[in-house]
Amino acid sequence: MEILDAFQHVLSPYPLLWIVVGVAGGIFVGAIPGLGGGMLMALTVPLTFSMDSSTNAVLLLMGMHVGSVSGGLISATLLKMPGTPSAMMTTLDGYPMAQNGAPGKALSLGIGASLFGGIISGVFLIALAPPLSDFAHKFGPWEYFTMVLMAMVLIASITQGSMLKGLMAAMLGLMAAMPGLNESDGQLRLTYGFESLDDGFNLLPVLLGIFVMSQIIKDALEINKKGISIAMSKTERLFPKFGEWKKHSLNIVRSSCIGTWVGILPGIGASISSMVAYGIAKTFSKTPKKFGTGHEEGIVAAESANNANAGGALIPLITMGIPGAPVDAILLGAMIMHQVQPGPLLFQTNGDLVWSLMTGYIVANIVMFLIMVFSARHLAKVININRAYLIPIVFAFCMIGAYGPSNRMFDVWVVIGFGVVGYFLDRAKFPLGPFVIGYVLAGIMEAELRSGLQMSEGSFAPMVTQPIAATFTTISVLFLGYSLFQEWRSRRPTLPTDASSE
Amino acid sequence: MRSRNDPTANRRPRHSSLFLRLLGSLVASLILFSPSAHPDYPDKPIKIIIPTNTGGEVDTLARIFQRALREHDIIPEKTVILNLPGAGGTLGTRKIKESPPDGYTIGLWTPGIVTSKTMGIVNYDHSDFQIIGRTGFSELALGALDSSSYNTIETLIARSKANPRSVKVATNIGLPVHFTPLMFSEAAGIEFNFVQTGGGSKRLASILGKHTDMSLFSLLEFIKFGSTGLKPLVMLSEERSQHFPDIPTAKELGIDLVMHDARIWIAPKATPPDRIEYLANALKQVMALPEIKEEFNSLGINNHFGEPDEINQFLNTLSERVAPLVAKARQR
Repeated sequence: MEILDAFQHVLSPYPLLWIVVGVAGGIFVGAIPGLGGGMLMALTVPLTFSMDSSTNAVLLLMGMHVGSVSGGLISATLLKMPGTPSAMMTTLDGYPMAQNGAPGKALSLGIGASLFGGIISGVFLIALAPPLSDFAHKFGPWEYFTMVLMAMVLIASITQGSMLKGLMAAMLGLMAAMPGLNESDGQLRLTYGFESLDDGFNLLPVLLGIFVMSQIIKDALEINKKGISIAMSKTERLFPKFGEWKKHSLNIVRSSCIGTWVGILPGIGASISSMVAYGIAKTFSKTPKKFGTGHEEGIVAAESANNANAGGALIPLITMGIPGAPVDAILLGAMIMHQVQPGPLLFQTNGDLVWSLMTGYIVANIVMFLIMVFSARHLAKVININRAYLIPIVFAFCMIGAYGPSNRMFDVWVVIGFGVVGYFLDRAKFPLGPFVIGYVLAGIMEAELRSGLQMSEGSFAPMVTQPIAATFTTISVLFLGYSLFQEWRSRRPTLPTDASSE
Repeated sequence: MRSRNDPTANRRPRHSSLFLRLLGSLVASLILFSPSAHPDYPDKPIKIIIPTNTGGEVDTLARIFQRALREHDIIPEKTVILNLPGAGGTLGTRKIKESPPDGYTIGLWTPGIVTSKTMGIVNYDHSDFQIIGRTGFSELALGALDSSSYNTIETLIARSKANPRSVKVATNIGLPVHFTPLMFSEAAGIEFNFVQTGGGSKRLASILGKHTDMSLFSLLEFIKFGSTGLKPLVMLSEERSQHFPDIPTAKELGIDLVMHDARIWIAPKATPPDRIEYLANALKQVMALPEIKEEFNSLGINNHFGEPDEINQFLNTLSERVAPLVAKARQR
C-alpha cells in the first residue's frame, strides 16, 4: 500500500520535524498582518538547497503554506485585522464574537473548521485528484464568469446596515480594481501617465490598507480610551467538542467542497473561496440575519473553505504540474530547482514525492490543529495587550509585508492611502467588506467576461447555452428574484403604496 | 595572462584558511592588476531584478544560476534576486533601466521587452539596455490537441482560409506569445481569433478544456504534456525537431517565421563594458557546469550562450516585424 508507506514516511522523525517547523513558521507569519506564507516560502526556497532530500524540502514549504492559511484567523478574530488575505471573511464574524466576550470560542471554531477543511480537501486530494483535475478543465471563461457572478449575487446581502452604502462601497472597490495594464487588450488604463500605477493596485496592499491600516488609524486615534478588557475564563474549553460540530457538519462539508473546488481552478485565490462559501452558507442558513454579528456559521464557512482551498490547489499541481495558486507556483519552482520536473508524469517519475506530499498535507493540517489549539489560550491574550504596544509592531510588519512581494515603495503608499480611505469610509458607516469584495471580484469578472466575449465573438449566449454556465446563471437569477420578492413582501404591509421610497 | 576580472581568478577551495585567502588575493592583486579592469568589481552583492513573481519560469531560471554561482564560487560576492512583477514585466524592466549603471544591478527577461514598447506600454526597448547575453533558448511550436479537428497544420490553414477567425488561439495579449502566432497568420494569409487566457499554465488548461483550439508552447511543454494529447502542429525552429520528426517547420510551409523563446540578461545602458564581460563570463561558466547542462536538458533549454550582437540583431528583427502588426494586435 503506497499510501500507508507514505504515511509511515511522513511520520518518521525527519519529515515530521520539517512539517512541524514549516507549520509553526507558517502560523507565525500568517498571524502577522502583512507577512504571509508566500513571502516565507520564497525566502525559504534558497535555504532548502542544502537539504539532501527534495521530499523534505517540499514538506517544509507545504507545511508553511498550511500554517499560514490557518494563522491568519488569529489576528482576524482578535484584532479585526486579517493576517492573510484568505482570512478576510473571518473578520466579519470572528471579531464580533471575540468582542462579545468569547474570543476563545471564536478561535476554537476557526481552528476546528480549518482542520476539517484541510482534512476534507486532503481526502479529495488523495482519492479524486485526477478526475477532479480533468473536470476543472471544463471550466472556461464563461463558467468562471457565471460562477463569480453567482458568488457576487449571493454575497450582495452581506452588507450590514444601509444597502445603499453597501452598494456604494462595492462600487468604490470596483473602481479601485480598474487602473493598470488591462490584460484583455494589453493596454494601460486610467494610469494618467503615472508609471507606478501601470500594474494598478495589488491585492495585498489594498487589503492591508482597507482592513489593517484603517484599523490601526482607528485604534491610534482612540488610544487613550480605556479598551474593553475581555477576560477569557479559565474554564473555557478550547479543544473543540466534536459533539458540538454535528450542527455544523453540513456547513463544513459544503464549504470544504467549495474551497477545494475553487482551489483547483487556477488563478482564483483563497479569499474568493471563503467569499463563495460564506455567501452560500448565508443563503442556506436558517438565521441569515445573524451573519456578520459574530455568528458561528460564518466563521466555520470561511475557515473551512480557505483551508480546503490549499488542498484543492495542490490537485492541479500534482496531476498536471499546473500551480493552482501563487504559493503553489513557489512550490513548483522549488521542485524544479530540486531537479524534480512537475507535470502529468510526476506520479510515475516521482511517485514517492507525490504520495509524501499528499499524506504530508493531511499530517500538516493535524499538526496545525494541535499547535493552534494548545497555543490558543495564550494567543487570545493578544486581545488584552495595550494597543499602544501592539500598533507600532503591526504597523511595521504591515509596511514590510506591503514592500516585500514586489520590492517597491509604491505598494507602501497604497497601504497608507487605502488605510486613510478605509478609515473615513468606516467612520461614515460605509461597510468595508463590500468594498474589498467589489475590488477582488471585479477584476476577475471583467477578465473572464472579456475572454468569454472574445471566444464567442461578442455574444452573451454562452451564459445560457453552456450547461455549467447556465446552471450558475439560473441560480443567480433565481436568487436575485427571490431576494427581491422577499424584500417586496416584507415591505408591503408597512408601505403599501410606496415601496420604492428610501 | 589571466585578468583579475576573470571570475575564475576568484575560484578557490571552499575551506581555505583566512590566511591563505588573504595571501592569495594579495598576490593576485599584485600580479594581475591591469589599469583597464576594475580590480574591485564586484565588491558588494549584485542585484538581479526579475520582472515576474517568485516561482515563475524566468524566476526559476535565475535562481538556478544564483545557486550555481554560489555553490561554485564563480562570483566572489553574493547575488540577490529581487522580484519586481507587474504590468507585463515593465515595472521590473523600468527599474533595471533606471538603476545606476555600475554592474551591481542586472536583470533577466524575455523578448517581451520589445513587444511592451510596440504595444505602447513603455517608451523603451532592448536598445535602451546593455545586453549581457542570452543563456540558452527553447524551441517553440504552435500546437493543438490531437483529438481536435485541426490535427495537422494544413487542415488548420485550409479551414482558416475558408472560414476566417474560426480558429481560437489562447494567448496573452500584447506579449510575444500573441505576436508570434500573429506573425504566423499574417505570413500564411489567414486570420485567428485571439482569446486572452494568460500565462503558460492557463493556456494549457484552456487547450485541454477545449475552450480554445491552439496556442504557442515550448518544445518541452509538448514533450511533458504529450500524454494529455497535446501535440505540435508546426515547429517554428530552423529545422525539424528530433522529438517530432513528422512535424513540419513553418519554413517548409513557405512561411518565413523562425522564433524561439529566449532568456536575456540585461544591464543598464551605460554599464562599463568590462563589467558586462565579467558577468557574461560568469554566466558562461555556469552554463558549462555539467549539472547545469543536465538541468537545462531536462528543462528543454538549448545550452547555447548568445552573444550581445546576436541578441540585438534578433530583437531588432523582431521589433521590425511586430511594429506593423500593432493595429491588428490592438483591435479589441
